[in-house]
Formats: sequence, structure tokens, C-alpha cells
Amino acid sequence: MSALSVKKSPVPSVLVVDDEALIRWSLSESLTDAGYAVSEASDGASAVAQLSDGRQFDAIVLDYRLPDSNDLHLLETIRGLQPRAAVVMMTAFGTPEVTSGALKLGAYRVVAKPFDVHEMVDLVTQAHESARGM
Amino acid sequence: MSTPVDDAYLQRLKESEERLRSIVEAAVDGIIVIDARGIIEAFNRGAERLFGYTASEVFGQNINLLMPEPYRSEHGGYMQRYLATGEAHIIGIGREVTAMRKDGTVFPVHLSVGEMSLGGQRKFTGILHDLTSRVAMEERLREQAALVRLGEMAAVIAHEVKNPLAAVRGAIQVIGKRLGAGSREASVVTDIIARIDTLNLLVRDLLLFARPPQPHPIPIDVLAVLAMTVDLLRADDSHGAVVVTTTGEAPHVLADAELLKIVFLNLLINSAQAMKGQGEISFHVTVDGADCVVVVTDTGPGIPLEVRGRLFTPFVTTKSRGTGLGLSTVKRLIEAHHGQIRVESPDTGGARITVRLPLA
Repeated sequence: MSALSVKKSPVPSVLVVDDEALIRWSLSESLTDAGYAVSEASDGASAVAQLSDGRQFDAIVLDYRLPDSNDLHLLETIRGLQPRAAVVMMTAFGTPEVTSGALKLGAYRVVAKPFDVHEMVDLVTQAHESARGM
Repeated sequence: MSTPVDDAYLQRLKESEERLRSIVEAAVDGIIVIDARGIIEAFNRGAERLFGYTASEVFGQNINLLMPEPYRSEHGGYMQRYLATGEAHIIGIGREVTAMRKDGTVFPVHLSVGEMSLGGQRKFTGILHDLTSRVAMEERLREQAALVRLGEMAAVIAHEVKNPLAAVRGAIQVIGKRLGAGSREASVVTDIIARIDTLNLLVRDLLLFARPPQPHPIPIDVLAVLAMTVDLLRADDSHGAVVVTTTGEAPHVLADAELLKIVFLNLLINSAQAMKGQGEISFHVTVDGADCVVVVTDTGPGIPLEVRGRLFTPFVTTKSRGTGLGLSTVKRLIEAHHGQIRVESPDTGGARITVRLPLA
């Protein structure tokens, strides 16, 4: 999103959900550098609250395991709250069951931790554009 | 002069003796009779099979011939104590003991001893039941239980390590980018990230070893997987000077591409490290029957003698660093694909690894 762009599209917004502060920081910084408006949440309850207060997000980066969530129910809830937001899931666990379950629930991709931050930003952009095209 | 009554009685005695003898000879277990000095008087076929001696070889010998030390030296004392005190420690009780065959190998048996009196003399009958297979099965069960616990522990460790690793990797990437590509610290940041990735591989190795994943096999092109693996190797500067060539061809194999990449990358890195980052590694792909055969050869120093028999044993390594899990994991992954792996140190030098995988 260059400053010379003539397009009047609003700044895309992304919600980063992870209980690890450094992960929120690195994703937040990188996504902001890439032109996103970034919000953060450190647990499922806070994420759900932000997704329910009327603001539409374009993308959500969601950790599989949070202090108040250790299964795919949160993803299901989030997809229900904002079906137009593209979801990229991250996990240190990465079993095939979790991956296929998440994809079935509509996650765009499941990424293993540790990830490459720049690849993650690219992935969020891809996910966002793919959701927009739907 | 014998009468018909005597003859009939004798006949019945003979039949009775024959029946008892057949029972003793038919027994699978070993049955041994000794006198009060421990001298062997009877040794059935089961005992011959158990110990590898013929009965004639042991008649007249002391029963402690069939025991390893220290029991051999102690047995005389045990017998004397029983004869003197009448306190039974095994007589009428039975116990697991260690016995020794003619060839010197030891094995576990369950021994039960009964006492009898024959012509006024005390004799002892031992019945020996081979416990080798039961002990082996118990050992296997213990190993399996240990592996399950290991798998659970590895999963917990993996998760607890991977999250901080991810946190650190992400943050250092962002900081590195802000320092700028031309800064003095740029290469340090690259090294930091490389170390983090090494840690991550270590954790992954541990997880793979502790909980080998089930492969999801599909028909794949081995040469394509090899090419990707070679690229992964080249991405690491420490192996930059190693030359890798790939020759041959084969139809698709039935395999899990991700797991195969791990297999070949492990083999490549092993060779590269053995050659200290310089030398040649070659992959040659052919077909043999229903299998695809991949032969990996290198110009390294070959397999050291002292590890040759234990190459695939976990935690065995010749490197100063490393878990020693690589080859053990590689073997498991290959066997999970119904394949085989063989490692040789040919006279011409270097190492030769042969991997067989079923064709699709």
C-alpha cells in the first residue's frame, strides 16, 4: 500500500491473537509495516469481544492454543462472528487432525511455529485477497 | 521259577514303568534328578533340549554345571544347609533362577524342586520351565510403556520449546529488518535466526523419534523430492562446498513427500558433516523388482568401526553435538513406508546407504 496509491480502499485491518507477547509484537510490527491496521488480543475471550463490537476485520491470525482455548471451538466461533474475515491459524502442535479440522472450519492455512515473519505477512495478504475475491 | 501270576505282575510293572518313562520323556520341560550330593542321576529329553547337553554328558556331574556363577559356587552351600536344617527355600516352592547352557549362554528358568526317598536315600527332582520368551515379552512391554511415556514427554517439551522459539524468531526478524541489510549486526541477526532454526530441528527430531508420524502416502516422484532436499542442503552455508549429484530414474513411489524429505535431508546432512563440509555426495535411483532403490554414496571417511553395529540405535552419535536420533528416526520413517535401509562402508571408502521404497 504505497502512499502514491490512488485507490480509495480503506486500510485493511487484522486481528492478531496469541498469548505470547513477542509473537504479537513481531506480527504486529511486520503487518503494520505492510500497511495493515493491527489490533491484538491475548486470549479467546478478548478476541471474541473485539470481533463482536461492530468492527469488521479483513484478516485474523489466530494461535491454536490460548489460555482459554485448546481446541477448534474458538475458530468455529470466530468464523461464525466474522465469516468474511480470512483466518490464518498458527500452532506449535500441528497434528494432521488439527490441520484438517481447521481447514474444514474455513481457516485459510495452518502455519507451524516457529514461522518466518515475512512469509506470514505474505500469507495474510494472500488470505485476505482470496477472501475478498469470494 | 516264575509263575503265571509273577509274569502278569511283572508285565504290569513294566507297562507302568514304560508309561511313566514316556511321560517324563514327552515333557517339554526339563526334568532332572540329583542325589544329596548334587550329582545328576536322571536328565530327560526336555533337559537335553534346554541345556544342549546329552544325558550321557551330564550323568555323574554335579548339577551346578548347569548354573552360572555365582550360583554355581553357592549351590553346594544351599544344599548342605537344607539337608542340615530342613528349611526349604526352593524345595516345594519354586522360583525363577538363571541357568547356563553348554555353550555358556545364560537364560531364565522357573525351577520347582521336589524331594523323594529312593532306597533310603534322599533324592531331589527339579522341573525346569524355560522363561526366555516370557522374559523377552515382559522386556518388550516395558520398552513399549517407556516409549509411550517418552512420546508424551516429547509432546509437552516440544510445545513448551516451540512457542518461545517462535516468539524469539519472529522478534529478531523484525529487529534485524530495522537494523538494515548493511548494518554490522545484520550477519549476527542471520546467525541468531540460524541457531533458532537449529534448535527447532532438534525439537522436531525429538518429536519425530518419540512419536513417529503415520505417513500419508501418495504416488510421488522421488527425483523431485531429492531435488528439493538438495536445495534445502544448499541453503545452509556450512555445507556449501559439498557437491551433490543425482542420477538415474524410477517411476513414482508410494510415500509421504514431507517425511521422505526429512529422511533424505538427514542422510545428506550426516554425510556432509562427516566430510566436514567438503566432498561429493551422489544419489543414484534405480528400480529393482517392486521397489525403487536410492543409493547414497559419499567421499567421506566411512562409518567408524565402533558404531557400525549400533548405527540405528537412538542416542548413538559420533558427533560432539547432536542427539544421535537422526538415523534411528530415518529408519523408523522408512520402515513406516514398508521400505528398508542398509548402511555399508565399502572398501573403496566413504559410506554407502541403500534405501528401498515400494513403487506406487
